[in-house]
Amino acid sequence: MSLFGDLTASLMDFIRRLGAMGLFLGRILAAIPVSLRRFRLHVRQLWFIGAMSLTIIMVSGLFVGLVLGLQYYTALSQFGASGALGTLTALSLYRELSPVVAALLFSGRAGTAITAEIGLMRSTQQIEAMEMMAVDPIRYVVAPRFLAATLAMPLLCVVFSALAIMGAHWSAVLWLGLDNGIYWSSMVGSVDFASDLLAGVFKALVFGVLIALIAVFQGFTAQPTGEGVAYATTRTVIHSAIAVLAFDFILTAFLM
Amino acid sequence: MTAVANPVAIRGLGTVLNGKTIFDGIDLDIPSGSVTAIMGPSGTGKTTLLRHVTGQLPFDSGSIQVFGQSVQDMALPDLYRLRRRMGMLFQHGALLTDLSVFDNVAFPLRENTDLPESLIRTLVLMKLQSVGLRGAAGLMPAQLSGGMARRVALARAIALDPELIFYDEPFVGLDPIAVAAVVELIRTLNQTLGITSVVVAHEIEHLRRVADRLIVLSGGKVIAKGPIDEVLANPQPMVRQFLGGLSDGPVPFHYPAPPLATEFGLGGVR
Repeated sequence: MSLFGDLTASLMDFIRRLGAMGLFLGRILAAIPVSLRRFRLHVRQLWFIGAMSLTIIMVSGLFVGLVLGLQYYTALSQFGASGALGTLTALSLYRELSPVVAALLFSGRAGTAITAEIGLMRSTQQIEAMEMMAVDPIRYVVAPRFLAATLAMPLLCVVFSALAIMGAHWSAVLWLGLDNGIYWSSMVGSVDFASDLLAGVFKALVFGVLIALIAVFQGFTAQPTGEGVAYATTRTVIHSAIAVLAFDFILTAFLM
Repeated sequence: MTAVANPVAIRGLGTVLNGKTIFDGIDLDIPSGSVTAIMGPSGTGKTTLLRHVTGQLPFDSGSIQVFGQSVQDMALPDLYRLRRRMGMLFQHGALLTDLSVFDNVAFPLRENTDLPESLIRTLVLMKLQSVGLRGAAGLMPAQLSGGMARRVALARAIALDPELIFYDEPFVGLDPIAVAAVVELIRTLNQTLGITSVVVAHEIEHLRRVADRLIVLSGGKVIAKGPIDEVLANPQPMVRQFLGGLSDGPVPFHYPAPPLATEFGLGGVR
């Protein structure tokens, strides 16, 4: 086949899968109200997907903050502007770094776990068994995971920001000697709750929807073999990363 | 609900998967109250047939009636309603690994009925008692042997008191004691509850003990069907090859390939 033919076929396949994913999202949204009757399923998934991701998010947030404190202090002190460190740290974290880095970490920790779990349920015929018992797997398996991932992502983003702010405080104030009052007052004075903090949380919510949809879709449509599940898990990471970065650009353009 | 003489009636079923013809216009009936075995060489589409009958996989032509209702083009809610009258034992049990044995059996009851938990407990323990595993109610699937997992899956399959039950390779990988237990259970469930049963399996010696009727599939067609003793005495070469376990015959040992000499570049050698 010619290169043009290959490209056309790939594009058509991409559009087809995008359409299938859209229809799948419709099925999930329709199943959520009924699924919420089994509230314990949702709590369990929120624990597994959200709470179990806390460690990686908190540790990563702390280190990102530590590095930001060091880098900004070094750069800003050259211009005698180290007093703006709090502002710069908070704005870069709230607007950009927290939602994006937390989302990339989240897709690696929770997205892959969701895909692998649903894919294994598919390959061990558990999904098929549910369908045979007249239980809709979208309602029982997919919807709770989708909702939990969507809700967990903005909360994890806030936790990431909090730990990063602490990390930056640690390196800039406690280690390099920036004034504690200047660090906090510059932050309080220049950060807007709605346009900075909430805008970042909104981004995280959108990233949560994207990662959740990609993860459940890849798991549900995985080939029922070991290799198929492995491919699906890999695709979740790759597609999530691309989707997060692409939507970050789009959202930033609209929210600025 | 009206009783039908043949809970499953298949007419002119045609299926092509990935360019390969799986079924080429097959007709068959599963009589009410019978234990019907379906046999055939590997890859002949036995499990595919079950997936067609249960509405899990669409087919290309013909019709399948289950309890007098056409499964093709059936809306999902109608299909689920129909499936509540069926049970299925999967090849490896397909137990939900995050639920205990008790919760696995309770699963279809909790999801499909509004029964109080006390009644569900009674029903689950009765089902587990019938497969001899009431004492294992608290175990997790990972703690069960293959035979025990199959029996728990059977208890789950009969939880909603189905009128029709499908067994997909129920004897594979089981030790002789577990096989005997599964054979006994299939027979007992059929006789005591009157469940119509369809068993897909290869093991003739086990099927002799459990089935009333036998259907042999090969090459996309039904090559023999009827009471099991009649089919076992069928003189057709293909049936004889399959039932006799002969490696070569009408079903060739070799997958179609070019001549060996051509493959090795020995043009003149035959």
